[in-house]
Amino acid sequence: MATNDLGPGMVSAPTAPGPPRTRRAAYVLRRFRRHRLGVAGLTVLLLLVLVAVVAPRFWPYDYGEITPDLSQPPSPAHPMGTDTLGRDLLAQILRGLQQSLLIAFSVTVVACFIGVVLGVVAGYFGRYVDATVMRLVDLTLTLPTIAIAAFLGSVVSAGGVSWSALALVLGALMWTSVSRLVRGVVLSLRELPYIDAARVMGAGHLRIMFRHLVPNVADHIIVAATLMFGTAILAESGLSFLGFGVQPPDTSLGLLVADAQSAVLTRPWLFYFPGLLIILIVLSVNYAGEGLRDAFNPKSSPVNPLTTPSRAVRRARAAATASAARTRPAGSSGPQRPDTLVDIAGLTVDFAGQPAVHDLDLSIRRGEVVALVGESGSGKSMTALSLVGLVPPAALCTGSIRFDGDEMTDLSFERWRRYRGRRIAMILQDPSTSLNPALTIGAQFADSMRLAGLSGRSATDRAVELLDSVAIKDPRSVLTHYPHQLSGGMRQRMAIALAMIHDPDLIIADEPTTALDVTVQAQVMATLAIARERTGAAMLFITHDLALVAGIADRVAVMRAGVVVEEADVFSMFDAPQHEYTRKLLALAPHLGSDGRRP
Amino acid sequence: MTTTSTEAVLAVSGLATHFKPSRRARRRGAGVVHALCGVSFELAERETLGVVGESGSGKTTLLRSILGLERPTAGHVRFSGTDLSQLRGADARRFRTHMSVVFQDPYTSLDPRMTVADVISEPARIQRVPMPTSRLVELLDQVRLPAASMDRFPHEFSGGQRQRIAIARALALDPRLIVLDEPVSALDVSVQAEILGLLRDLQEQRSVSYLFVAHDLAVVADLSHRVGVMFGGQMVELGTTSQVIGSPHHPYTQELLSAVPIPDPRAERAKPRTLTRAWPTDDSRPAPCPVGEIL
Amino acid sequence: MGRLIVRRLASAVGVLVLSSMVIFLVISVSGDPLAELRDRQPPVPDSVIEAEEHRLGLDQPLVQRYITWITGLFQGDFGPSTTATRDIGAELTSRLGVTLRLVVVAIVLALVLAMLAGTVSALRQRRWPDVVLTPAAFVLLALPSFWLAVLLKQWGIGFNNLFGYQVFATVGASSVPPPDGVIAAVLDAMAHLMLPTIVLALVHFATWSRYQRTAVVESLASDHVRFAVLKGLSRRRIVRSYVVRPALIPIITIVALDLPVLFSGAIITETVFQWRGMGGFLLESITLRDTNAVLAWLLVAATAVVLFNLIADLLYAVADPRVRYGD
Repeated sequence: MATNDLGPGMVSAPTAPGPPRTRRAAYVLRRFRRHRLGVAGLTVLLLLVLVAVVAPRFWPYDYGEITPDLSQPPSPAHPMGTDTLGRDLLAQILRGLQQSLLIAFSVTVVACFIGVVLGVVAGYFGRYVDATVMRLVDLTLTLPTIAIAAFLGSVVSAGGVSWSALALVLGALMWTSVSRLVRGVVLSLRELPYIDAARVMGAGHLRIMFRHLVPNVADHIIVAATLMFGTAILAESGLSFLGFGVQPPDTSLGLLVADAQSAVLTRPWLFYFPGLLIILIVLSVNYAGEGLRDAFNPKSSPVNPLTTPSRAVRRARAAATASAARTRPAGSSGPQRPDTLVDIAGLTVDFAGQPAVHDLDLSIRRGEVVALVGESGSGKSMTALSLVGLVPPAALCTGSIRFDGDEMTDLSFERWRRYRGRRIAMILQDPSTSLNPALTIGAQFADSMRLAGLSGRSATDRAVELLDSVAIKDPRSVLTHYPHQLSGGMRQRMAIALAMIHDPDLIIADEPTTALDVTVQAQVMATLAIARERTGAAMLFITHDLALVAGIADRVAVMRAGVVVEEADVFSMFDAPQHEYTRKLLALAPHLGSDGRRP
Repeated sequence: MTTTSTEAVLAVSGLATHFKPSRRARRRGAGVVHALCGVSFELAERETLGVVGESGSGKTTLLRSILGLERPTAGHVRFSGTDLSQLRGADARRFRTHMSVVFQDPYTSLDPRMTVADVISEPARIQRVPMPTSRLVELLDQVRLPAASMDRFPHEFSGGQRQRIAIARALALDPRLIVLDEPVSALDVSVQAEILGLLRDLQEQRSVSYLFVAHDLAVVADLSHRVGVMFGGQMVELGTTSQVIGSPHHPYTQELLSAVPIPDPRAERAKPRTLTRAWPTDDSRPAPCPVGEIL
Repeated sequence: MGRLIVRRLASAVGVLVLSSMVIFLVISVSGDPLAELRDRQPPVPDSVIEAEEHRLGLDQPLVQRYITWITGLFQGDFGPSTTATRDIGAELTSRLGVTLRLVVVAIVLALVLAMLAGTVSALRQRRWPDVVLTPAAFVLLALPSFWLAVLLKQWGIGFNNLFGYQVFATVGASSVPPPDGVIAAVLDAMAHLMLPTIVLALVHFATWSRYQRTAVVESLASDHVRFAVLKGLSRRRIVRSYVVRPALIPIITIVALDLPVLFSGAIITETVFQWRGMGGFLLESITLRDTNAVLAWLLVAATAVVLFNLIADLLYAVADPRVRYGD
């Protein structure tokens, strides 16, 4: 089961041969540095911290100091102006910045500590422990943070709330998001074999939690903590604004905004400076968090199968194709035979200089079954995807693909619709994900039937007939089921039946049995054979298993590292393989001895 | 205990593991899941027993029950005559030195945050026994990896190389039994052959037994002295490899064999087309679970 | 489906009961509602304090007080106020209506806009309008709601002054006295709703549109969308049934989780715009040390959160058949 083949879902350039000698931290750092806004956010944040620590020592005015300059607009002496009592706003803002950063940091520490501990414990032990923690989360969510904090703030405010008490209260109310996140990650980690392996070695609960789980959720915790810091800034300043946070004569950014409420139009500096500073802090925190998230979990480049290639992409492709054509020997594509259905000439799929497919020629005649065999990374799936115009946008695809005489490269989404489904049907590897989980089987059939001009009863009859032909028992009731209610083999047969609706000219089957058991594989292979016979379609059958193609293919092409190394009809391929790699594949493939073969 | 021959490294008798359905599933009428129903076999020293089965056959539950990852409902797992279910605390932990495991997916069976040296020496650290660097080098050498691999992280290796690291970890404490859970099914054909060859060589060098669980009969036959076929939580057939492959008795084994594709176009095309299961049928189905409703 | 509702309902009631206990405990142990009375100069006679303690039930043990309080709730009695003339239940009811109007309008507005913006952004990644919407959402996420509220209020006042005509209503939930006629009253209410709703909706619009964008981006990359494209379906059909529909779960989750934050935001917004809603009620009660009033407020908020979570749970079942069929 070579499931680690390059699928377009996970677009990463093929890994270079030979392991790179870099550590994870260096990877993360390099990726973070590429995220410009993230770097900017972190820089601003660090600068603000530095200013909060250092600047008050050098600034001549104290935040409570009353100067003779009343209600001054910004001037060289008071860069942010002064308030009605003559206090220097910059000094006050610096004090507010200190308070906000200190409180938000403490809140983050408290909330993350509670959240991580409860999240890890809940996720690891599951069952009742998990249920209890999750109820605790529900419970905490019913307590509006500001309300509780405000009430508690008011009761202890006799001598003003200490920042540590405020931080504790806010932290104790804000841990839920962290714990939900950590629990979710741990729940999925817990099922991983390395945790089972540790248990088999005799590792105790604590060891598994601290040696294996916590280091593996650390990424998520760092990102969550960063974003939590921003939320904490907003919560603290909101509370201070209402008068339940930091109390005068001390000051905070929220308090400064509250005092300036009525001065927006008359003394705007008093209102805008503290407000904009809060925005600046939170904005830089959020961008830093976003940058960290992307650095830890590199997002694959966006996949959108609904788009048409942009003009720039088309131009690049045309240029590359033209230059490649010049280097190809003239006449290599040759005159087409009249019964040629698909003609691929000089196809190259290139990921940032690393070709997944290199200068591939392949043709399929009408009604012919061509098998494309190769190990992971051989480029076989990428070849199939270029045939239906779904090569990931990160790849540059050059060369020519002709289908029934029409050039298929650079078609718009609407033009592709004339081919996809109607003339070229495709069956994907994993039947558990290729059907829409939210729609019944019947609804998914109806969507395609409508394109075929069938609706209502006639559509249902046709669906039933198709399901019948792929040996589905009681097809009418199956139509009312959702995909998750069917077995893997059944789902793959649904995909095959859907492919048969329009009587296509070509069926592409991309590892259609890899995710299935061997007896189910035999049934699905038989179903495919039936589908081909009924529709008379040609087929491109893609697999890593050379033995599997013996029964279905007319012609076999063996691929390695993006190149077809051998192409022959199925009998000569198995009787007298020419290329060393084909011979190796045939020799190495585990098979039953001669006494194991059944008639 | 009396029936257990002294040579048997592992003796499994009447092992059954049932799962209680969730409260929600029970309300919808789901009964107890009989994942494993009275499986018995013995595994001798230096022997490889292959267990074949499809998804839902109970082979994974069998393996997890033997490894102590699931608690069996009934039956015994005896290791050199010691009943594993009787062991508690530190004894149970010490017993883990005799048994280790290699899992299917080399991408998830190694902790991504540990270096190769950490991974391989983890069993020793858990058992609180020393693991000198010379021993690490020796282990890496046995799985044909350079000593320089030690300070690297698993993600720097290919699937086959990672599976070698997992094997080195399994060998670390010189176990008498290694449980192999589909060790090659995630790998490319050429890499599969290398790993199977490595496993065969290791068995010749040391007195280690393998319990080899896989879905692919051809792969299992390649390495095993004896083969057991599982269906519906029971072992429907158990015999020497040539017996099971050459003259299978059970209809399910026959179906399994005929489903294996043959790398020969003429033979493969001569096979009858199967669109539905040959077994179980209405008049021939697996026997009900002999252990019955225990939960 | 029926069973699912019953089960969720039972769990919701359980959380609510627990929540009432926690709220009661936190409020009861954390302060003396009569502190102000005791500190008065000249000192109030002990008999007066004792009488007040007895009236508020403070002389009873904690468990007894909880039982009295909770049984009273079932009869619609929220307990005595520290201000003898205040009827907590009646005041709460009228104020709840005011706040619900604000919160519900804001939720609907933010949700509809967020789903539209998030979906469009995801479908047109790194192109117009995503290049504007994404940074805009980041800025909105960083805006403190109190600052935005004050800003809009003062700008509204400035605008009104500039044109000499009251375009934006900046104080209260409706004019005092309310204008005659249904249409005039509705228009008046809408004029008052406008600014506070914008404040409350904008912040959540930003969060939710980010989540919707992520969900749709993930959905777009999924196998079943690719399969739908390969079936040759139209863009509109794919977006509606294959992209957006399976992406509904994340947005439902996040809206449900955000409700407590929304209530907090409502407190601030109401304060700034001087609405006589739940926010003002809470702040007044806190200042007055009216513990029973604070308790009542917290209980209403908790009920609202539990109720919305219940709705979210049921929406899951509608959106995802796997939930509906209990897998």
